[in-house]
Amino acid sequence: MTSDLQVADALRWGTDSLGVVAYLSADTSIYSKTAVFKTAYWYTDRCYLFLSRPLDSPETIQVEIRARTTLSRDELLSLCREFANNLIDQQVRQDVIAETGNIRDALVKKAFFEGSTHLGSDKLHSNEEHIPTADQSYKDDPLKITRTTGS
Amino acid sequence: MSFEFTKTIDHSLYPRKALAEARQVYRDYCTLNIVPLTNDRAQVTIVVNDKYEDDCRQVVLDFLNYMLDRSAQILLEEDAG
Repeated sequence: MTSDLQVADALRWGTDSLGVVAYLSADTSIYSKTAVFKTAYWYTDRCYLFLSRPLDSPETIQVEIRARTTLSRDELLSLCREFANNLIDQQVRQDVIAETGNIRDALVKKAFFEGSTHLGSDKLHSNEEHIPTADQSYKDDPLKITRTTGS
Repeated sequence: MSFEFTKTIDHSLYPRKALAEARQVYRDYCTLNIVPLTNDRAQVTIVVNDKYEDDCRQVVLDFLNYMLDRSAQILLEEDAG
């Protein structure tokens, strides 16, 4: 019962000169602006979105959701619920990035550092003394690449 | 009479650069009347060109989606930088 009321509070309906619009409120103390933008970004190919901050509640980001095509109220409601679920997913990703970002950066630094220490600067320069000149052909095989080795 | 649609833009969500770029990209489809309200808010009236009167909903909402896409890119680049 309580969760139904919370859904009703977070989701409202309206109509203006462009048709039916659903309003979804995201509290920025729970969902970061980055999470809201990343979620909205992925939905712009499926629906029309507009973000605003209500004057009486500046800590809230209000998401206006409109269908690209004609949708029934239930279909639009389903789209809004899907958006809300993806917003939670995105916020979890942001939290994981915040918690593990330092470890990830350390692993990347270590990987690149090891790569640079194994190669001396003299080995990083390209040896181009064997590049064929204009009068040479691969058929000349100056490096004896076609020579059979092993057994 | 041209179709008009007015929204209040919050620049903490839609940077001025995103608004300027969207205005430039959609200049053939609509014109904008921008009235600054406060330092971080502006009232934007989108006036659809008569030529696209039949598609006014699509023009207005595509404009707003484009501005949102650019805002997301700009803000996420700032976060990453």
